[in-house]
Amino acid sequence: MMLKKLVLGVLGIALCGLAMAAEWNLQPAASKLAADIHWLHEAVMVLVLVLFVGVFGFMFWSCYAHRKSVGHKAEQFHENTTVEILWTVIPAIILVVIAWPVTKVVIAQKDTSSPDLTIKVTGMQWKWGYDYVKGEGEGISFVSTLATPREQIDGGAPKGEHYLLEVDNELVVPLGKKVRVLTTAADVVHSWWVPAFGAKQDAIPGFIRDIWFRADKPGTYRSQCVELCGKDHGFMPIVVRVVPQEEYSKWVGERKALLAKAADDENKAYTLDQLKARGEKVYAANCVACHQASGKGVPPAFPPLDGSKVVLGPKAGQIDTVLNGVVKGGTPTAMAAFGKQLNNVELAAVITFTRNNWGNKTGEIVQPADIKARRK
Amino acid sequence: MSAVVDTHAHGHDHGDHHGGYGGIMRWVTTTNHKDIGTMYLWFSFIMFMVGGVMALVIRAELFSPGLQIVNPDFFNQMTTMHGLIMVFGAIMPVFVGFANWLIPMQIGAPDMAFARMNNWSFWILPFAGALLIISFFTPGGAPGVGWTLYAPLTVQMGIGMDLTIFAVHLLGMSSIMGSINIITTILNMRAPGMTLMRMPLFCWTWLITAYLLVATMPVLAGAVTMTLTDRHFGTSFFNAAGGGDPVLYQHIFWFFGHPEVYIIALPGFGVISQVIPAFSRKPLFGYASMVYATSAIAILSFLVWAHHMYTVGMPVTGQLFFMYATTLIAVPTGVKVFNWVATMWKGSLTFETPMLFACGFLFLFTLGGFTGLVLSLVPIDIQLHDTYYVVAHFHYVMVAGALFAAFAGIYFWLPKWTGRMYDEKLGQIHFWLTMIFFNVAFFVQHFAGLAGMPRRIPDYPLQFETWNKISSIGAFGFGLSQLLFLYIVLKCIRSGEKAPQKPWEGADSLEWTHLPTPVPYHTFDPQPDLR
Amino acid sequence: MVLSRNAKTGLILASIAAAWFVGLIIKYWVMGR
Repeated sequence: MMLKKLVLGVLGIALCGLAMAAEWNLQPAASKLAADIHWLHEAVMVLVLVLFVGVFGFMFWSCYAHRKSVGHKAEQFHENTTVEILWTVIPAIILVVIAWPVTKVVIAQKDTSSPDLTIKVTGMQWKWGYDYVKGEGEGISFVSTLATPREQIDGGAPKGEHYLLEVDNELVVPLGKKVRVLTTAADVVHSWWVPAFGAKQDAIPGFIRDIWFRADKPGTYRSQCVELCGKDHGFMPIVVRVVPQEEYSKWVGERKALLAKAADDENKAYTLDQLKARGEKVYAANCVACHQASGKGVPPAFPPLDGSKVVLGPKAGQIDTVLNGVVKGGTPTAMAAFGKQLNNVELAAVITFTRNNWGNKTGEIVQPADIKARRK
Repeated sequence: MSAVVDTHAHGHDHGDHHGGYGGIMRWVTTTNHKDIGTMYLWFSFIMFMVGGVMALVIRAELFSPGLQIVNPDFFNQMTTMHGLIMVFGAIMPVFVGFANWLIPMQIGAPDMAFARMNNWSFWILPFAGALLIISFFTPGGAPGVGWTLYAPLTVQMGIGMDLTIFAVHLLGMSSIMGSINIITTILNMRAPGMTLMRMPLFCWTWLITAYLLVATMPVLAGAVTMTLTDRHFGTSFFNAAGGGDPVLYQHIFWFFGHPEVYIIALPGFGVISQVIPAFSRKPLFGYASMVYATSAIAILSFLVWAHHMYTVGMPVTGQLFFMYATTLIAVPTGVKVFNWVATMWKGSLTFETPMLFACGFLFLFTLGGFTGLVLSLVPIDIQLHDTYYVVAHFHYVMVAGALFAAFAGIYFWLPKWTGRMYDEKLGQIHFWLTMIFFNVAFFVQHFAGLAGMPRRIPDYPLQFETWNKISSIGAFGFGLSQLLFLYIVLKCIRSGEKAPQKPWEGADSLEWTHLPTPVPYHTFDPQPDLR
Repeated sequence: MVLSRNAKTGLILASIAAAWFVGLIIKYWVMGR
């Protein structure tokens, strides 16, 4: 009996060693919080192992030694108050003992005070919006969309190393600084998570919640939306790049310059071909999931654009639909308000593209200035 | 003490002895608890197969990264309906089937308190099930929101959502009526001498479960009704733009949802508490403790709901309260596990199929309990919430827990119900296939969750491929093994060996000691005096 | 009208269920106004 327990114990420890390898366990920690969670998980697993050996030691021994077929006769005891009290009180004490270290981590996890940098994260169907609202980089704003090409998903091309975990615009944060993340959503409940930091927070439409992290290792950390939010819930990854302070400042400078340039670009007038080329890219990144590459949509949920009355009708009507989305009965539908996600050049390009592609041949051009005019 | 012996013991195929109807009308109009129990059991098996096919669609798509078989929208419909059908169509009705068959016999009553309402409770179910299936054929298909039906995603769904809401209302009414029946029967109709503390534990667990149902099903009905009015009647219960709060839905749903998992588990505990003593040839250890522990679990289950919501952004005091309350539930649950092991300890054990499933339950349900303990701790849950670790956890407690208990009970009572023995060799094969494939399918999901794979995704990054392939193979094996179960049951009913009067040496509740095998159509009329 | 013991028990339980359902919706509707 003791030997059996010893063997099981050693086996358990060996398995724990094996478990320290990559895919069996939580992702390697890149923050102290995540490291604390690793430690807590390991401690609980040790407790579970002890309980496992204890409970099943008795059970399996019984299955072996107390069989009728080996002649064991049943004793008839059927209650023992002392034993009942013991195995009620002792587990309760064990739980109280683990409650203290766990409580400390819970409180630490919620303490978002005195951040160095505050970033607002907006969950949308189906991408993330990042706004740097306070601290170095304030004013930077962009949308982060899945960058894995459709052909890889549909099996038409081999899958890249970061399949489903790559985006066009990564969230960049400085190493070692406390980052407070405000989460909200534009439509339904999403959830923002970076396992390496131990930070997960639901993004609730109409409300702002917060969480924090302090990354202590440079690198690129990848994750996914973690609350069912509709069709493409599995296709809105989160990628965070942690860089040393100097590199971060450099990135901030570059990003701000880009923003300024985009503002300039909005006053230019473009040719039809320039807009169509750009629009095709915007369409592929933002519209193809619902309206399909063929423009035929998936009626009745996602209407076709090829031959659509809205696309072939007055420019103002289509611009308004794309800017403001479609809201039914007070709730946003899957046709989001792209005015919040795309700049005027991108919007002008994609609208021009739809009006001049597939069977649609309006020959019409929509310029960024037209979009700007219709924004309220 | 008198034993009731029915001198015209016969099987159930002679229509003229049963309420005057033959053929299909007999089943439509029956008020007999045995007939109704049989219908519940067959209905739940059919739903188990339907829900199982949906699971196999899911696992087939997840076999490899990439989208091969279904589109993401349909995939979400599969996960939603798999959950709804399994929870409301399979696992809950199977235990109502047990309740109907066994409670009157185990307390010495002739039938349930409200025999006609019992008939309605059953016949609502196929209608509700049909509504769920029909939703697939509406524009927009079935809802793709997860069985938890979170707002405001539900507001975006098509008319399939409304059919589902209606189905949930009907399922709730069926459960509430059934529970009223069970409570009234147990409280008012026990034979003289059958005191509450003398009742088989199965009756206790159902009594407590029935109270949980009466208290929580109306809350679920409230949540889906509020979803319905948000969708169509201009209310804003869960819409921030109108002054409401999406998280309110989650609170209301999980106030139902957590006791719901005990509603699923407790009757299974009751079955196990009959089977283990019978095959240990030893009384259940700590009967009174088991009653108190079950009651404690039921009461505590109302205080822990937000452990499903640790990441919504509740204040830290909320997280701490729900964490402490949840870890507390581990105590009475542990007490039950220890009592079962103590029942086996120094007994005289044999391992026929019911006992194999009972031991499988004891082992795997406890493993599910361990992962529940891991999940109850907030910092760890932050990393595991909405990942496959949770999927693994609840399949361990609901499948390896409740379903295995149901299998144990069916094999245990088949001789009593049909007068025939099932094929023991085949039963053991069914057990081992189920046991092995279940673990292949679900154990690896713990690792996928730890590694960071979210739930409810039709496609996944490459590092999760190995676990998904193994899980899918296990799932298909598990599903196919259940066809063997169907064969075993049919073979038993049609041509099983005639059962002895007492097929199980250690079984000691009234249906084994006071009634012939098979049991007659009407039993305990008049009631026996057990004083 | 004389109710059997069973009917009384059943009605009490049904009232609890009904009160829970109606009360829940009314509570949140009033709170939201």
